Amino acid sequence: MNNLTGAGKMADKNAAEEKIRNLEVMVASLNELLTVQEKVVGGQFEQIRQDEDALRESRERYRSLVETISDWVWEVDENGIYTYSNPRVFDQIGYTPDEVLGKTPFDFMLPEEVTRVGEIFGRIIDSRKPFSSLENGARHRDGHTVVLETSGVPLFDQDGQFVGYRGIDRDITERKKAEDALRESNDRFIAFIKEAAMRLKNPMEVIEENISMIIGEIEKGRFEGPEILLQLKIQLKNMEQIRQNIIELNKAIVDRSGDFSEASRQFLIE
Amino acid sequence: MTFPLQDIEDQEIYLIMASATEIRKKNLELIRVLLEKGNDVLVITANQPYDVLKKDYQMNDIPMEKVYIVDTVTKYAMGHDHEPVENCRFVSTPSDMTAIGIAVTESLKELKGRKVSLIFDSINAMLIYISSRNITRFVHFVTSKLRLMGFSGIFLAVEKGIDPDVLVQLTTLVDNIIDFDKENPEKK
Repeated sequence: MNNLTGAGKMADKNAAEEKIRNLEVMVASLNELLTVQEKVVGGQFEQIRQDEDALRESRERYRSLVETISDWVWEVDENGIYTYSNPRVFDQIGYTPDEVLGKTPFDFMLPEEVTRVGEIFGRIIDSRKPFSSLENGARHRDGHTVVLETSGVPLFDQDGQFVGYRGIDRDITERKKAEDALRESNDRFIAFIKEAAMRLKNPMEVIEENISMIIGEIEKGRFEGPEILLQLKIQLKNMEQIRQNIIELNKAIVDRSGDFSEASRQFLIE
Repeated sequence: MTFPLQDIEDQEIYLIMASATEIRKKNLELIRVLLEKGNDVLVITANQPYDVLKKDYQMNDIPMEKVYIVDTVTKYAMGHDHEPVENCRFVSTPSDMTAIGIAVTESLKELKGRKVSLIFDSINAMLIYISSRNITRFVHFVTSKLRLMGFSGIFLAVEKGIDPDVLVQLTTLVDNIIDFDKENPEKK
């Protein structure tokens, strides 16, 4: 009986040891598996970390660009209300970004522009299309008028719903002043040319006709010395005035063109 | 069909356009017609001097006692005064709008109460000396005076010698435009 109990205990011990060995193998396998998983997950975390870093850099780059660009960058929602503005708004119309948020472009527009631009912007919003170079007049905080050139692209959420516009405004006030000045200068020059034509072309015809008449009267023996003298003096005065008119025209051309040498300039205006 | 000058009406103001050759003839024809209608005629001349006009009129049997002249060229050309003439005022230069205006005003005052027609010879001759803007102002001045006094007036111009924009302004100041180069006259 003691032999049986001892053999039984030995068998139990062997079975237990076998179980332990099996468990050790299993644990070793699991450890190995965990080590591999750790490596994979670690790699994925690294990739995620790298992606996040890249995204952060990209956002930083974009933010830096938007904040420092010379144009006023903005976003409006589907109702045209400002939801974002870069600091350049202050340079253009004298308001801070915080002061424009919650307002619409029409709150800063010249009253006489609101109807015109409102109609145009209404059509743009309805179309949900990009637009560019929309000129509009705004009132600066200090009261003076600023001419802005506005461009924008529509924004859509991930469901494709229209959510507003993002765009830029550029201050073109000085450019418009220069264009207006050039146009006025052109108009004045054209008016001057037309005036000069009237005071040169046809008067020559008048003088020509008068001299022809004088010759005719002399040939018919109707004019005497004093009358001939008077008529010739009158036509001479007319021609002197026309020469003066030509000099004025030349001056206008020379002043406008500026491409003449000093010698040519003197020739034309003296 | 040429517009018959006999159809010129009292108290109306005309812009008559003709060639440079025809202007002198039109001057004589107009005066004859106006005198036949019983008008005295006031001629403002920037083209022909008094002495030549007088000779022309006398040669064409136009009675000088019914013709009054404002001469803007003689004194300017001669450089000195013409001897005083009863029915003529001499202005020192055709560019002196003020002096011409005064001469016209005084001449019209003297003729108040009579039936008067004014002839202006010519817009183109005046354009040699003054700008189109001043011509328009002058024509406006004279036409206003004529309308106030119930007189008629005729402004002579050489066709194709006036810028279209200026011509439009002038046509707003007159009642009728007659272009002798066109077949049908333009009645406003």
